[in-house]
Amino acid sequence: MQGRAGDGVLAGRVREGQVKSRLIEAHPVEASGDGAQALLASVAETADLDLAPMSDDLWLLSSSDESFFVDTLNPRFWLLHTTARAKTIRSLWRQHFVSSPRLDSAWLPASQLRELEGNRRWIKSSFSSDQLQPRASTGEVVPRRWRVQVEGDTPDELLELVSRHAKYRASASLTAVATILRDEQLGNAEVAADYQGGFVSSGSSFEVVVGLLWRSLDRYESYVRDLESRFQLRTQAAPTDASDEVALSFEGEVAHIEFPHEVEDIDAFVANLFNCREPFRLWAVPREVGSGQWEANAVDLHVGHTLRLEMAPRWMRILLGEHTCGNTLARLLANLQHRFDAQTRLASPVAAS
Amino acid sequence: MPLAGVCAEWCTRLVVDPRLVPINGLIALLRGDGGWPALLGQQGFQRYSLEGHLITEISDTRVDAVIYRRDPDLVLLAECKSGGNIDETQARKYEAATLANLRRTDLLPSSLRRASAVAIAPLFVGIEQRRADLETGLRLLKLAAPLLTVGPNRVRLSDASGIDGLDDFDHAHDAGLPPARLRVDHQSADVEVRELVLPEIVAAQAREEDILGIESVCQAILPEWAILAPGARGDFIRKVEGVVRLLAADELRGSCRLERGVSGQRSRIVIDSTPASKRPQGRTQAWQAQQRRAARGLRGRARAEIEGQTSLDDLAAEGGLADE
Repeated sequence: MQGRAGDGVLAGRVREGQVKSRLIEAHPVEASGDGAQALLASVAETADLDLAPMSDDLWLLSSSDESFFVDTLNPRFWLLHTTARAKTIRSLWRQHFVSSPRLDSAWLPASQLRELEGNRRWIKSSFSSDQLQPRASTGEVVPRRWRVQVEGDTPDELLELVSRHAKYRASASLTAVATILRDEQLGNAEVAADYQGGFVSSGSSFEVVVGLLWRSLDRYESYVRDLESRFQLRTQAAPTDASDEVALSFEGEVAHIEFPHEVEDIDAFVANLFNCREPFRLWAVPREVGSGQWEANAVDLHVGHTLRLEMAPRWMRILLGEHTCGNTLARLLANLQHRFDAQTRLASPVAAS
Repeated sequence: MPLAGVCAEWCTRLVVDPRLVPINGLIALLRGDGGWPALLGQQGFQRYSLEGHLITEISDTRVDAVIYRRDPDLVLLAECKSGGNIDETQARKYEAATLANLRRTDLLPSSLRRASAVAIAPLFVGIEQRRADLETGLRLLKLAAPLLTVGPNRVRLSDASGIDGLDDFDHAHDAGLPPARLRVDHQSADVEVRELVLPEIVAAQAREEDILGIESVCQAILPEWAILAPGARGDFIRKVEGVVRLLAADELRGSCRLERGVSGQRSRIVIDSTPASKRPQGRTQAWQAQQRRAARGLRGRARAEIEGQTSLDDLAAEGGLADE
């Protein structure tokens, strides 16, 4: 990526190479610059990094040889940028960012990856049903695992073609895309994005890249807020004009998924969905309430929010709490698309999904 | 298995108070929630309020749900029953409700306030398994009221004839029992409350909080908290305190305790330890250990583990594009 770091505060701490960016969903105690600073200070402390403001909404986390820039202009959805090695950013991300209940990855549905602008250079599809359906399949879903990268003109078409085939459509998840952006004034850039909110960019203009990142952030924010507005279940007292009495009113819908194919082994599906492990990180003591039908009052361990899931081989319902983060539902959907069936959708999806 | 048997099994094994199945079914039929058919919604019905206060010439009562429709203008006062008995005194109050009664306590939706002729009728809601008992009860009391029953495979509305704007239905479906929007109420048994208090404490552990106010737990698990009278709130708080003591002695032993309130303050739950504070390498195992303990407490046994295979994703791409 072109552009040189100054000789001042950053000298020697910004290596040349690809820029790795991460879209972050943040829950600072206070949605303000002070809140962002406090949350980043806690990350800096545990990661043994220095924290310094670069401007009102841009922060530098640094060590003696690496720099990580955090853009907190949007108080809830942040962007992390670095040219550090992939191994370094991965370690920092896992141990000090997403391990905090106040920070989470973005979980982009396939539709948001498809919306990434520019000329498509390649796409990647990665699918594995090993976690949710570990036993050998004798049913309609074949294959159980794949990793495919398609390069060339209109690489989306091959995945689209595969998605139409009954035998393979469940596995045809969209995991990552790479795109080439050209701007006559600013220059060129190649950006790759994955469904976990990771971006890698190279080229002659970071301005071109950051424009794409901000647009992606805006789309993702709209998606998550739509999920919350529609599916957070709220009850409130409805005061009356005519007396001191009040009644109860409800808002919000129950999120509902009609599984594209039947869950072959619902016991294994439930056991492995609620085993506290990544990527779902759901804690619950589920209970079978009828033959093949389960209910669970669960906790999303990423952020410490409660939700309820009701499921059977053909469907799943998700009942979000009043304050349960929309990112919890986004994560569940994105990971069901990569681990159960790529065609998994909410039964009446919000516009952005 | 006969339908009644299926219903009986569901209702005894639910992780939701079975008394709330009828009201959850009524809500689902209005909105088509969670794959349920919107059979009342399709007839034009909308929900107005739950637990509204009704004053009649007989005496006051709380109406489980008020639903209504326009053209023809009709208000249904729903009485939800989990068993097979009809309480005559209560039923007579529903039967005696008039437009003036509804206006008096604002149980009339605003869109109907200027309407000249609004019909009002009671609607009894129960579970499919108890339909025959409910029909008998209504007949014995000579109550000509529609009966709605909900079940995991079938929903039925009968005796709507004579009520302009309400039509009978008998519908088979495969969406199971209705989505549990309401899981407990202030009269639910401790065992049902425990199913909800436990995840609230685990969530606080995941957020690495030290203190959880007892009222915040009550508010989180009890939808009717906002309209509950002070006395009933106090009773429910005591119920939750009792549940927390049991959890602290069993499923969450060593993880939390109940600290009594002093100087008029409410009690609070003190979180003494959390798997979230473990090193990342052992954190998941610590959560799983706590989960197994909870399973033994709630279900009498830990769930069998069904291990997944190591996937290519696990091996190669946990960091996504960072690996590229």
